[in-house]
Amino acid sequence: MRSLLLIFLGAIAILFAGLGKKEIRMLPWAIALLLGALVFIPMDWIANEQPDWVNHIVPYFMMVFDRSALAFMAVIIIAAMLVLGLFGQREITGSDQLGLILFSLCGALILCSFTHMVMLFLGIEALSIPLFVLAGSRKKDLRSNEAAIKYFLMGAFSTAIFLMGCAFVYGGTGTLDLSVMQRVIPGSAAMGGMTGLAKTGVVLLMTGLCFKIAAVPFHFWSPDVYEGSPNRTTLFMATVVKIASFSAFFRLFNFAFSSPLAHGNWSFVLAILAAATILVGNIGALAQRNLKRTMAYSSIAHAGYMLLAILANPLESFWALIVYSLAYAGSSAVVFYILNKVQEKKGNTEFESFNGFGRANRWLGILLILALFSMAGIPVTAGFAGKFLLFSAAFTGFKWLVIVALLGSAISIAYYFRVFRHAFLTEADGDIIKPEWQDSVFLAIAATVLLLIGIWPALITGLQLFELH
Amino acid sequence: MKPDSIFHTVEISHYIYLSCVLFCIGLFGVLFRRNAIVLLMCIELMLNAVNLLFTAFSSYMGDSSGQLFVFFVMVVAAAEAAVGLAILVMMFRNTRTTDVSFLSNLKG
Amino acid sequence: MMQNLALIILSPLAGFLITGLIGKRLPEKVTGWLGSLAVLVSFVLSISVFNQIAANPAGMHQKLFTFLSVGSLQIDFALQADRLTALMMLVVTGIGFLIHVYSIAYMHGDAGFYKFFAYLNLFVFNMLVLIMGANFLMLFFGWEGVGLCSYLLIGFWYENAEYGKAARKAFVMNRIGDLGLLLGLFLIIFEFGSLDYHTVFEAAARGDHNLGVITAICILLFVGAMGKSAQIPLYTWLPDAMAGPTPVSALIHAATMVTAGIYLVVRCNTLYHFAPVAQELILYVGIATSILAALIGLKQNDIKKVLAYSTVSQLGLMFVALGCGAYTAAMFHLTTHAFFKALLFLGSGSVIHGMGGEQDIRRMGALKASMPLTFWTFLIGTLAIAGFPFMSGFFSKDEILAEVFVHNKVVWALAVGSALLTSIYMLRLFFVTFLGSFRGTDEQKHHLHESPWMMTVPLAILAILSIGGGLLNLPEIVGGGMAHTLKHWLEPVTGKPAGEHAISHGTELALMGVAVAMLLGAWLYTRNKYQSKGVVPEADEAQEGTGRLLSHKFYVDEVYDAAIVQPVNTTGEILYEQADRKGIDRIVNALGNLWVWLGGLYKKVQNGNLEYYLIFMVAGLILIVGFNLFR
Repeated sequence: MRSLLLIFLGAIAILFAGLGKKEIRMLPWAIALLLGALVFIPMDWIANEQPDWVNHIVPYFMMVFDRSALAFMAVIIIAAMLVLGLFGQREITGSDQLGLILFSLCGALILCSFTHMVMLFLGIEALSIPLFVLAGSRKKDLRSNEAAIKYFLMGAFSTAIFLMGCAFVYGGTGTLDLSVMQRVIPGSAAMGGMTGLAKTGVVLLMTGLCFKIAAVPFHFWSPDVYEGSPNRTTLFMATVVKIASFSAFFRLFNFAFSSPLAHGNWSFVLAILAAATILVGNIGALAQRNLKRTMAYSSIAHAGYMLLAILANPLESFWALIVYSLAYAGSSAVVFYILNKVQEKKGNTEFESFNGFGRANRWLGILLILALFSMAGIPVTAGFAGKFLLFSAAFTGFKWLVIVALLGSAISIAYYFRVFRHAFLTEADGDIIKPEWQDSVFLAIAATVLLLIGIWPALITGLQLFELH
Repeated sequence: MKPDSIFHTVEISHYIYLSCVLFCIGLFGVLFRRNAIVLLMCIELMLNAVNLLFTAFSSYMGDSSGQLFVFFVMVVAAAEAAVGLAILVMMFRNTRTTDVSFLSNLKG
Repeated sequence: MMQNLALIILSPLAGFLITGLIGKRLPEKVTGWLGSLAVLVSFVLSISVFNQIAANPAGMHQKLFTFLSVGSLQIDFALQADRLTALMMLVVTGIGFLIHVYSIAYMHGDAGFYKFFAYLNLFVFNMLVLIMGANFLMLFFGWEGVGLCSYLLIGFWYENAEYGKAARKAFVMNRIGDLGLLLGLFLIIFEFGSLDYHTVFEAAARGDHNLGVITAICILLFVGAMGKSAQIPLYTWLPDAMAGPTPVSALIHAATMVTAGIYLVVRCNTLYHFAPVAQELILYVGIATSILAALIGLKQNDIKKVLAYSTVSQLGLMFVALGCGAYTAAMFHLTTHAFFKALLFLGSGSVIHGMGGEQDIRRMGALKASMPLTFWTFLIGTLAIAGFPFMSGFFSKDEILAEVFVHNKVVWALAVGSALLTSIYMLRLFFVTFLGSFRGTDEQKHHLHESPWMMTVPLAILAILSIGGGLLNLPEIVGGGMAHTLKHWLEPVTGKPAGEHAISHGTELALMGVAVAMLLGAWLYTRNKYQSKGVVPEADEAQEGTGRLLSHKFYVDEVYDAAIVQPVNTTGEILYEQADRKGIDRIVNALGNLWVWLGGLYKKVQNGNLEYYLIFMVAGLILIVGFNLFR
């Protein structure tokens, strides 16, 4: 709670501090704010003696900051710090944009901790509405305009569908509170299973969340919006928004709808969507000539892998999802940083622009390899640990899906390799890029996350989610 | 007439049907219209269908949280519309049109 | 002494970091020797571990830290050394060290000298992780790591686009194999709830697990082995991998990495014991690969390609042994093959070095005079692989043949055929390269020189090993009391095979006789064709006119030629053209292109138009809701 409040108040302060001034350097303050919020998390973690939420049902007041929430909040704040730290120097000029990012972050944190549908709805909207603005923040750029319009219209449309799902579930279960819902749904087994209303409602909710994480067939917005948005916004969407939506997904489906009866209703459909997402993401990425768009498709594929965590036994897959999210956030941040720098030099992000990059920039080259390896899931990077945990958690229930996922990750090697080939195996001399010291600090953080978790994932998976009684 | 008796003559299923019809009208409007402003209006129609359903369920079950939800939906819809219209104005300044079918630079 | 295990893998890792990070600023010699020293340290420590294990058959185990723990699954970052590992460790570090030293001279003057040593050290590190890991995940780490290094080293001279392509192919094909391996690992977790060797094998040995699942695990692991050890259909990357520098071919693509598949199967022998179907599969894939590669090897003119196909063929033979459950025979041949194939590759490297980069044997010949040491060591290697009596290859190959003879007579006949072809193509290579007349340019002739000592000393050491390697596991008729050393050594790992003395001494002698007779025949035939007649492979057609006049004297020869040799040669050619280049290669490429094609198709769906997107979304929505309601 303290983290959320701190960020919210800080966002207001930053917004007002920049009022009327054209340019003001608020970035250090924003990063200090996030650091402060991050510090609260271990404190809350230790103080927290929340019982096991899978087996114990406790009514809360719309939000609860249990350990599962805190873990996701930590990942999201780290991801947001990487976005601000790596893109702060040039991109953020006005404090209005900074404020919007922080407000959006508040929405993301709400998505980690809701226990009531109203908070879920508000979280999604608080997350999305600032993003509509940020996607179109380059006002004169037609591509940015188009991204904003597409994102807004499709986003609003999916919100309407999501709300319809809320209403159906409300009608079907008689409550909007997740803990009550969790109790009510197994009870309805005696009355011949869930009503059609509740069943449809659950699927509509799933649809709304699938839109946010860009799962097939609700993914169409993401390649276009990712490509058209400014790089910083794209990175924010790809990491913070996606991880927060997954946190909401996990909480909603493994908390409220986790009883075997409900699980049977949605799991098969979701498994098919996950398989389709993995295949479409990877196949779509193969045909691209532009790194930014490739990353958009690759992020669709990553969403597909992460869906395995929703399907698997939540106690096994929770840490898998956390590790995967961290790996994904870290590697995306590195790739987007490099992509942004190359775009500044060459004006575009076509693969050809990366020719000779690795030879001209030794350390950035090594970082790029690390990030690509992590995305492709090659040991010993965090991405491998995440994939391994995810796949082994899902293997018990969905063997065929794990096979599809493995196939997908084999395909993905091809396009990650293409980046590698352009950056390292071409004759051309790339531009030398000198990161500023602040950038270097955050790059080092990202690299540490990728390597440390890759070599020692037990560091995270060994944490105790519940106080064992 | 007590409020209960209204629901004896007009059943809850009628509300469900009505709001589903409204929702679908909005949905088909989104699918088949091209003007961004009309799209926005259709989405508002969908949201209102949801609001109607929430109110009906809330009243039917005697539970206030559904009506509470409606207020949040209205507030958020207003915020969304404001942002949406701002984006539309920005687009209109650059392209002199509000027809979304002209937007297909980003593809592939 | 427990720290030894960690030190053994850390030494090459340190070598990698030092040469990789500061090697650019150091003089070549220093970088090279630092890299070699790192491996030498591992080698010395390996010997000490080897001695400890000799006294303690149970082996040693060292847990470094808990890699991850989720629910009941706990995977440690742990090393182990048992007798199988100890043998592999000696092969990897010993031959690795020799090849490092060799490379100092071979790579002299190359712009990427320091990088080369960094990669080589990284490779040794990963290979050691692969063989010393105490669970399947560690094996997988090493497995991926060696694949990566192999890829980096194949594409080492990346200025050449062909090399880059070969590297990519190796990478992609290995990924297909890795897919099988990973699935196998997930199935192991699913069935046994652990990846620890000890736990898994102990549970499997109890025999109360689902045999279907164990068979599936074994087949999936074998798919992994196919990729790494170049078996049909995932073998075409290995001949292409010869694009890399020659020491790499010797170390990675002959002696160590490609044998990882053999190691995996031997390691999992407890599982394979319960999966006879998987064993049969290994047997048939192995023999098919062995024959196919040997036939193709007959018609290759690139000195390294001949050796590459020969490696594929020999690996096939090792899998044949594994398919019969003859784990000792496979490990024996793996070891001797490491000796003589590394020798042959390094010898060919010496030739290529001396010829100034020439790899085509048609432009060589008569190198005996100018490169005596290379000549003699190459001769030893050739004889060893061809199975000259009492050299290492003779014993190891005969052991496999004897085991197959007991197991399956048809496969035995095919294996004998493969052995015969091996003798023929190796002797052909030898005669054409070293004897006859020189066919290169004058410039090359002028340039021709014996290689420096750093290259020839490793050759000499490997030659001695190739001669004496057979002592490891002598058959009973020759060795008497000293026989079957390796078999006894490996017994704690492989267990006592059931049909140990299924073959009588008489039969064994007869089998040896067959082998020697074949070698003699091959020797006479190739000597006649390539030395006495001086036939150059290329000139087969051109010499027809004069050749025919002379041929009356060798009428028998000609009949023999027409009836057996020509068909075999043609088969080799056709197999290379049709099966290798057009068939398997094309299928693999088509598999890749299929996805790219699908990607192009998908691009059309993502047409940028909002209305279409919305319609697709709603269609999807209706499908999902409908499916969920009416299921």
